[in-house]
Amino acid sequence: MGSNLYGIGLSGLQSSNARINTTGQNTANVDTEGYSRQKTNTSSSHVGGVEVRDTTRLVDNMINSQVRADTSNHSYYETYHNMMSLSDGLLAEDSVSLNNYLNDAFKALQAVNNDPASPGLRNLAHSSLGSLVEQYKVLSGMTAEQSRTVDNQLAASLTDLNALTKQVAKLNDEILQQESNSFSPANELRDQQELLAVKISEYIDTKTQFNDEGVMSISLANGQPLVLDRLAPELEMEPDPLDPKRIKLTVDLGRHEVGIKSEDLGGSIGALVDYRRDFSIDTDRTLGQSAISIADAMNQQNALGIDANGLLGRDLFSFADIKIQADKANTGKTPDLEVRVSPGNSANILKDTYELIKTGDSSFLVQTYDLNGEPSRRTATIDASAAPDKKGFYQVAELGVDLKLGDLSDYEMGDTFQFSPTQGMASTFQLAAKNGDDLALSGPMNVYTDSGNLSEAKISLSSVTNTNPDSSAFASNHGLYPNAPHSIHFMSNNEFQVRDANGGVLTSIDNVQDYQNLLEQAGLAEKAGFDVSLSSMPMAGDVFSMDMENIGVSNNFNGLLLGELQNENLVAGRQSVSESFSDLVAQVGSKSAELEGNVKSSEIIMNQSMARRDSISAVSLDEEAVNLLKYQQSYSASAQVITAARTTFETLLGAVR
Amino acid sequence: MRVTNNLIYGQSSNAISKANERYMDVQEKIAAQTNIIKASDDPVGASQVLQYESSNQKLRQYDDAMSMAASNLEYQEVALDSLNSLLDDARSLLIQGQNEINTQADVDAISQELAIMVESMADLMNSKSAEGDYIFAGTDTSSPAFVLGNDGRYEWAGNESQKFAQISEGMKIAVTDSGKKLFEDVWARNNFSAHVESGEANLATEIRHQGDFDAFMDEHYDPINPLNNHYRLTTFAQGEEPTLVSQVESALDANGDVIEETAEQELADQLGDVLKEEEYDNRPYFGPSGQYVLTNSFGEEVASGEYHPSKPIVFEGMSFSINSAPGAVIDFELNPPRRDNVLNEIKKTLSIISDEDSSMAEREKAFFDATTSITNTQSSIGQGRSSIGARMNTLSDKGNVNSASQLSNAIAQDKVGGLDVGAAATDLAMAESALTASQKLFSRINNLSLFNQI
Repeated sequence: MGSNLYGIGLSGLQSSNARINTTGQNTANVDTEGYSRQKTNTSSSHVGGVEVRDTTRLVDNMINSQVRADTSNHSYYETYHNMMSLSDGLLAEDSVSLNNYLNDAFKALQAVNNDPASPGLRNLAHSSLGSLVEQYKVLSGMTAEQSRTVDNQLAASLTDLNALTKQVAKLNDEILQQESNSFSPANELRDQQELLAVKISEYIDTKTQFNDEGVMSISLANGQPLVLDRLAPELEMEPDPLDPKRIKLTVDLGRHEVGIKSEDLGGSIGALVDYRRDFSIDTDRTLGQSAISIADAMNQQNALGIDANGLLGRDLFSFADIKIQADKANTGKTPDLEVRVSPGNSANILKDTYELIKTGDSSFLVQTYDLNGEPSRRTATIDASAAPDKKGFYQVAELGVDLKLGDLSDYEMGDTFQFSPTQGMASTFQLAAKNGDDLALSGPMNVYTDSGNLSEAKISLSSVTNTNPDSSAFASNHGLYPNAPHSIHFMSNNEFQVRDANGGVLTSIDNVQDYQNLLEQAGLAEKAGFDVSLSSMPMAGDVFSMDMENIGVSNNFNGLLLGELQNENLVAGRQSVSESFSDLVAQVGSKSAELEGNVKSSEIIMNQSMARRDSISAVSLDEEAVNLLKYQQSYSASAQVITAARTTFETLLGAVR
Repeated sequence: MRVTNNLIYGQSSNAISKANERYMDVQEKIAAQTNIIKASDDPVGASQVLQYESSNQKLRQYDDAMSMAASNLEYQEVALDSLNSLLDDARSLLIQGQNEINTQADVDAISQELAIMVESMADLMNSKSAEGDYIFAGTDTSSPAFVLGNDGRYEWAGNESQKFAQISEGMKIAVTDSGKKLFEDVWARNNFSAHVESGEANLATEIRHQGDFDAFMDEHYDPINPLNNHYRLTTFAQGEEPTLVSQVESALDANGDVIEETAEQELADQLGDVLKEEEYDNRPYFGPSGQYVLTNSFGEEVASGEYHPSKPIVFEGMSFSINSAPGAVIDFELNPPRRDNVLNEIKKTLSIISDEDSSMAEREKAFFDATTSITNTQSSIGQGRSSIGARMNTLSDKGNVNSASQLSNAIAQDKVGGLDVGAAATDLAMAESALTASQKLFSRINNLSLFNQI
């Protein structure tokens, strides 16, 4: 009996000691990240005393997986928001805003319109246009820089993620070994493993499962494995062959690689992928679209005027060629395919990715895909049996591009090519005008009211629509073609003849009611490429004429039309260039604002899950203090039991003595 | 709920950092004096602010264009005003010169003064702007609008185009006026020429009433078919029947084509005119009166009446002094209306009046030509000035609208993006107290450990 009392006392001391140890462990690890408080379990022994069974962690796997999911969600929004906030802060800034540069350029254009003869003002306008071009480059450079940052972050994140999954796999092994040698579970190792799992879910949204032996396996939300028992297949990134700006993620399973969908990955990696697709590419293309629109419109308008050197205006802006990617599966030879922005049709250009597919012997289909890769309803067909234009281009005006197909025998049925006309265009935007003299501010021609006219009607140039020597009255060697309209003779106040350079009658019109756009009434305006109007009713015998001589240095007919482009809906035919930029700012702002909300709410949710996890698994020092006192007491008590056993025994000895 | 150390410390650190963040946010807004630091602060507002700013910059750009336009127009106004008073002076000199008491020496003095005035007028018509542009040369502003040719005439050398300024989004305004419209295309005095076709006549013609004649010209002058401008005046004795000939038909051959006048005939016509002028006899003719009939080119009668040899026949402002017995046939035609600048008209007049051999009638016509041209130029200048005035008014109206729009834009911009100072101050105070409160809370919690007690 006495020995039993010793035994009971000893087991009490041992169990108290174990508990004090556990308390000590808990207090020591109060600030250790991922530490779960431990508890020593005991049971009363049927032979008397107490038995220390094991020391386990207090964890709730459901709550822990909730923490991981919420962490992943928060990390997604936070990363996305961080990336966005850079653009968000910059775009609204005055010195960055494209609109300021646009306004400056047009202001300089108006100034030179007030004095077209001034070389100083011309050069000011030229350099303002140059700053505008530079600003497009700066903005597109910013997006390109961000794209590079995203790519670097993605690469670093993937390396980190792969290291983390390897550690988890390794811990699986160590946990099995340790647990097979001990009654107690491998508490610390499991804490570490779970901490790693949380870190992994910061990168990417995962599902974590434990098998019967408690081995952790991790897979992506869509089921692709990241940790399988002791294996950790690597997650890799590679560029999309059809579109190098896009990336593909693959899982390397040793024998083969499996591509994974890049949507809804979650975590910071998901955020980077989504940012890249939804924002980075979109912004780049929006800028490209805007640059193409203003450049094309100004080029077209400049061509309708005469520059300071007395020549028909040339292009003010230029772009690099549009890059084309051929599908690897194409069976034809690499053809001599070229794509350019269709001059004058830039309003139809889309931000989409275009795909050219050979669909018949001499027919091609152009299909467009939006930023999410969904086919849009805008398609066009090319009939290659028709003759292309002089330079070999087929016009696809409805989609705003011209395609040069080259040798048709180089194509096989089903061959596919992709290109995005707006992508990267803002960064290759160039000012082609050498100096202010290249601005074609002057109208291309002069009109004359004959001094012998009986009426006071004055002629004026009402419009210029085409100055191309191939298709208009304007000859390439400066002057109007002899067979183009040169003069208008009124037979009576409602009858007139349009005559050519030699006085031959081109057409006679009677019953004229209105003296606007006379050539249009005569059916000659389109062919001539210009039109004239009278200020009031003419009289019989009045003669009005036109030519390209003596236009003068102060003519700003075309300059004003160039200036008006500021207010015209150039971008996609719906918005002015400045509106389109304001829209981009609003878009970035609202996306950032939305993300900011998401960040806050996901943070609260994450903090709540953490709090729930903490309320189960974290250490409370107060609790531990109480426990410490309690176990100290039970230790003292057990010691007292031993003292009692000794006293009892001595009393017995004394009685015998 | 178990309250753990992680929770206690985590929560207070969260609270402090949140309070700090809020404080910094408000501080940034106050420093920048705007509610919108980042586009995400108010995405719609940020884009609105950009639009308002754009609109304002555009308006300022139109302001610049308007002040340029106004200065251009003022230049023209000044030049036209000076030209107008020069023309006034020229007219009074011409009227003075018309006085028959003047000796040739007086006339020469007047014409010298006028010649200098013509030069000043030409100088005004070739006015230059501050930029060195010839303001009346249309858009061909690098060279003078009027160039003095070898023949002593001022030739128009500019063009008809106008320079425009964009003064609002949809409005252009002409800032120059071409000298062609203002000075060059000014009507010269309308005239007619007559010669004696057959019979005896001591013919002198003049325009008695220029207004009547101008009205007749307006109505009857045919620029397409010049034959229709031919008329015939026939006088015949009482009781005789005149033969009315259609000049149109006689001008046509059997096929209906116009028979070209031969060179000899043309010369003969011209010589005839000259001879008639030289033979003109000032002495009045007294003889029997008769009848006259005036026919148009189709031989149709347009007017008829009694013919008194001593009295001129007046028809639509034209006066014919025939001074002979009835039986003369006089052909006359309406001269095509002519436009020329006042400089040439005055110079032409000067060349006639400074010629001692010019007859009184020629001098009178010459003075009349010059004053008509001056009057017409002044009316053209008047129209030009009123158009400039109208444009100046438009500019000042548009200027007012522009500044009003700029103001309202600025107000709207401020409403959307400006700092709400009251709210910001309140926010700042709140953020401050939140920060102090959470800091205090932290120091309290810090002491709340059981371990401190045991």
